[in-house]
Amino acid sequence: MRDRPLSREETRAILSTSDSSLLDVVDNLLTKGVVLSGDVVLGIAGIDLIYARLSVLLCAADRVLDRRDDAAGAPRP
Amino acid sequence: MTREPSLHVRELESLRAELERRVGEFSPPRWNADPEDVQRSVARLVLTLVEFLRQLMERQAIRRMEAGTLTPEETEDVGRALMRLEDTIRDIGARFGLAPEDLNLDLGPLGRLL
Amino acid sequence: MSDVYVYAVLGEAPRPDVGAGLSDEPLRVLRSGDVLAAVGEMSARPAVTEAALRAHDAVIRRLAGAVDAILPVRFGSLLPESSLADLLRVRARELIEALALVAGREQMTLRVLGEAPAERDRASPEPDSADLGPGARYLAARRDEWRRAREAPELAPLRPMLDPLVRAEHVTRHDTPPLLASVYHLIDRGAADAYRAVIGGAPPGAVRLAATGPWPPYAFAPEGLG
Repeated sequence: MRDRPLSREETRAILSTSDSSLLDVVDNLLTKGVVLSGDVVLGIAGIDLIYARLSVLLCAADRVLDRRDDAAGAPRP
Repeated sequence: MTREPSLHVRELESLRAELERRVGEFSPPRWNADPEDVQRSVARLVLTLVEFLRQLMERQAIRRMEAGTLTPEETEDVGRALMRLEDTIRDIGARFGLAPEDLNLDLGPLGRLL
Repeated sequence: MSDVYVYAVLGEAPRPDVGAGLSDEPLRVLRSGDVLAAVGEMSARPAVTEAALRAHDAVIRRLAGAVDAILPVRFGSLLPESSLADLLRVRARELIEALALVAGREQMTLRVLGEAPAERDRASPEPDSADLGPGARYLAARRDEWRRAREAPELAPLRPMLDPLVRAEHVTRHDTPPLLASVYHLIDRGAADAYRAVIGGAPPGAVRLAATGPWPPYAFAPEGLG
């Protein structure tokens, strides 16, 4: 896997701050913003085997449904 | 950025706890089949994914209902089907000792959708 | 193809003088159809440190100053350039819509603080609700739950003053006193002082409001699933 997932320890360390502006930065940068991957790691017997990128597939399905509504002439949700 | 009335200590704690809850979703969630109880692990994964899809469909159904692109009959049919699916997921889960709260594979950023 | 670290999605190329990325790497702009992304070459995701987060935010702010519309990307987004190009192409429509919403605008973050959530009006029964079957009643109830989870009734007294300033609103309810909800408001660039004046003029009561900003529009990035 190319990316090293962010660890809870790293994020917890960041959050142990009295600086409320840093909490706002964490809120903006780590819980908001465009998400470019939604992933799942599947494994067995404690061994990671499959790293699945779900976002492209799920997004495309959603947009395909909207386009079909358009084609049918129904108002778009 | 100008100074703002700062948060009191308890408010800060509350915000910190909330962020810790949400930021924890960042790491790719893992599903690892438990060799001691493979059936339950498989059931948990399958039911979690089905519940995720059920909620996705429910959200879309609500959007369509609000937009008026479902007839009353369709609204009733979809609502009933979603209810039945929810009951089915709960029943099958119960057979494997899985409560609704256990079905939370926490699909990271995608989970936020729900 | 190497990995790129993505800072933001843009609708137009920024002026060239926006500086470097958070690791001092050169920034470049990748185009995929009608959508662009500001990226930097990086071999590994940066560690989550205060310095890295603030540096990432600083890059976003410099980019925001150089374009009209920007969609900040989440911290830590490192992916192959080809995957990014694919994602931008697949999600072009929703990204373009989101860029149109945030053009010329910025975000204020409002924390709603208090000990108990505001009293919610009982949902008035739908007309003809007695005629609704169980399926339709179920959907209506679920719809009401969705709505309540995205509402901030605590702001009701301020709505007449807020409405002229707020172009879009995103609510996350926490309901863990004293943190009741976080409200993200999209306002026109330059309206932050007027916004703060409205919040500052809120009548004292059971609920306290704390506003920060302006920020680039982090909370108005699309969530990818419509």
